[in-house]
Amino acid sequence: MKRRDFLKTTGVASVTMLLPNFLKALEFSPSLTGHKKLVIIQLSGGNDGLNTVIPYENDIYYKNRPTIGIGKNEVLKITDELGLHPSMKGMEKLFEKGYVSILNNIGYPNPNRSHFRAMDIWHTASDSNKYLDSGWLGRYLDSNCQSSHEVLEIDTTLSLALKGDAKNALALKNPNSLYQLTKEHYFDSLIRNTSDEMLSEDNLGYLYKTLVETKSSAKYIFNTSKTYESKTEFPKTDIGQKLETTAELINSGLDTSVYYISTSGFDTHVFQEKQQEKLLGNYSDAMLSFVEELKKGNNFKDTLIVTFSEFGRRLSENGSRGTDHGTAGPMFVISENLKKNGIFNEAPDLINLDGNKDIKYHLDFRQVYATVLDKWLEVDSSKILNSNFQHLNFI
Amino acid sequence: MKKIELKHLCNRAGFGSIPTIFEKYKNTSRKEVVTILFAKHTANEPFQLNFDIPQNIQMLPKEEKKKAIRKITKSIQKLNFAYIQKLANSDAFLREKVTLFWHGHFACRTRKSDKAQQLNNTIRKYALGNFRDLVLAVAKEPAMLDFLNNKQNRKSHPNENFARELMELFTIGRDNYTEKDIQEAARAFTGWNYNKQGEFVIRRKFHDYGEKTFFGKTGNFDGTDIIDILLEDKRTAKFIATKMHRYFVNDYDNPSEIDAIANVLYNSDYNITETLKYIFNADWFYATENVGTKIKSPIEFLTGLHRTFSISYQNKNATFIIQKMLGQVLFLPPNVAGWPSGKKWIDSSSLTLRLKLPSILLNNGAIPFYEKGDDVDNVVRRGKGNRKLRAETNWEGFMEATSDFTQADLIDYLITPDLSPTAKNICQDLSLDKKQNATVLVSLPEYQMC
Repeated sequence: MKRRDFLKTTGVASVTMLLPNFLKALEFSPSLTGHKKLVIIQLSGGNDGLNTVIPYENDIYYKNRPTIGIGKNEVLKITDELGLHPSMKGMEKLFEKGYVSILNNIGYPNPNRSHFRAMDIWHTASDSNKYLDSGWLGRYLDSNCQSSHEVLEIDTTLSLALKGDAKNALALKNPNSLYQLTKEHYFDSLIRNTSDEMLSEDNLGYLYKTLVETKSSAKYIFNTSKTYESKTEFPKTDIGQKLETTAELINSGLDTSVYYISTSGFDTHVFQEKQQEKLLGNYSDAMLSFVEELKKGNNFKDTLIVTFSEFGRRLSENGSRGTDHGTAGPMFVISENLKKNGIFNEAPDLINLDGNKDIKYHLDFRQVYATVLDKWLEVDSSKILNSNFQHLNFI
Repeated sequence: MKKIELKHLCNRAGFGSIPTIFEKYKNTSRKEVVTILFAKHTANEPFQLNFDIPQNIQMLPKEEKKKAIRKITKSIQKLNFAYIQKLANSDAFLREKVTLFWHGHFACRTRKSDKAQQLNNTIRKYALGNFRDLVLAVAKEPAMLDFLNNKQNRKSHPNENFARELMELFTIGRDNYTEKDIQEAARAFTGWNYNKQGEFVIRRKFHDYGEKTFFGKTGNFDGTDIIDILLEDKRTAKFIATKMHRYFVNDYDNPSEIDAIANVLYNSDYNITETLKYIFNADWFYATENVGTKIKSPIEFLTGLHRTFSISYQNKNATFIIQKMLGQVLFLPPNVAGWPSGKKWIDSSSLTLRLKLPSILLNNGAIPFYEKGDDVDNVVRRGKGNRKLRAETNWEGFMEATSDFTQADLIDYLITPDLSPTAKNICQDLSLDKKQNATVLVSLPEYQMC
């Protein structure tokens, strides 16, 4: 039995008990998770799926989008019915290499068209009429990880998806800023003088514990990643920079298993053409650099990248050369050895729409989560998602 | 009343201790202090802001639409800032504390500031009155009729959203009703709408006047009857008592305390003032496990700082940014379930920000702390701070209010729980002036507790 497997079966509690000193436990305990990395990318605002993966042979598409529809000659054709947005040349390259699986019509029953509520549903993995205050990756952290840095968000604040019931993930814009903050004299004194007895389960103990953990994680991340610098040029965009940081952390050998990145601006009610072109171009260029850099570090084979948006947009364009909030949309899954690459399932059905004239979902997003948790991170998804969802065989 | 009890009451019935309170009430009984609290700090001061909110913006041409959206965003920030100021300055802190509780309970998001203001004023008006009146008034508010789609709830196409949340989140709580109950309740609320003046109306042709069966009772119920039936059920009192306990008493549930609150609420026919008076007079409310053990919400934390230091901001949006970063923006609850509480507020980012924020606001970004032997100039650097968050403190007011305070008095005033050994260490080493001492104290993890 491998050490990691042993730890996995015996669980978190027993390992913690073996190590008497709380700080020691933090600094020396091995990670309980495998070497597989999961990178989640959130496109905030509701990306227009129909102008991302374009059904260029479908007349209904062009009829409903007389001004913003993307012409058959412009799309980057990837099958005889679907093409990518013209700005996504990077993604086209990855697609040609067989690294991409496009999951169409992802959604959930009784969809909600409000940004914040829809995002809540994606983050907590709840039914649309239930309210949870912990996120799916937070619950993954709760049941399968020891330290908060095993799930990282590359940002200044922490999203709901990464907040557990018992633990919270760590958010950092870059390894240096958080480390420097915890090194400030005041923080340092607070943390250095904190004794084990103070780290009780009550609320004040929890604050001190969070501080000590933050310091310990920040130090570990900084020291592990400081020697590594990416060998690939990344675009100087928001998502480009975030993915560069992520690639450096992965390639430096950090024991983090989940990275979370979001980029915004996809709420294209007005004049969406230029805006979406820029955003999808940024996304696709950054992704190409990211894959290239991971390959240089020999980590691409162990990395799975999943991209989602809280909803797709309405089939018909609105009166201001834009689109309004819709329902189901596509997800991109990127990795080196996908079981099923290319177009995973049938293109959106533009005839049988729901009562709001929106696309009906075919696959539940929690099936994607369950697949990723069980088959990639190799943990028990039913505990995290509070239900059993049927797997999809893309990995 | 004892010092620690007065401090506890100020924390929970308001937004932190008041410099003069110990001297003023040291010889007054608890009952009397609570009576004074309700007599003096509960004035109803509604918002009276005027908004120029563009209508039908979808119809506008591009440039005008952009302007209109900017106007709407500005009006939301204007209302938000007014609320932050009210919390910081109002003498009616008890009414404001209770209003904030209901503001989270009846969570509602809207981009229409006039409606958000109206809902907030309604909540403030009934905050200390009768819970029945409060629920009914909220159910008739345009913001809520919009938010939970009751506007679309018609006899021919019932929309169940409001009926479901009324039960799940506003009154009786989850798992205490059937899907059939929801459908029947939805029928009772059909046609509830509002007119152009923002006044409640029942659109008769959309209302379902037929017989409904709800919670085993049958009749030609309308929305008011549904609320009455829900409140007749003691589980509603228990649900509200649980939330009150979490907000006013402890992040962790205590079943016997919750039952005691529920009994008073139910037996007083949902009289909120009577229930709160009962809590604030109860011996268990002042028990050690309930004092200084709650984690402040971001708004409680920020409001406490504002009240102690009279902070004014160079950039009006600063408080909006801070609320966002700390994870609680007034008028923008995460969803209809309202804000979470306790440990849920804390992660490494929000905690480090909480500890860093006082120094950013009070001291240009540097926490004035050093140990003996350190070179002062190296440690107390004048950090550049965050330009967006640049603020000014009314130190004169603070110095005057605390003029005869010793170091121990200052700790008593600002910190509720016993200091941890770490914090004690830090406080012993302090040989800074009062301003800097105060800044260090409010940068401690202990300051996060109330």
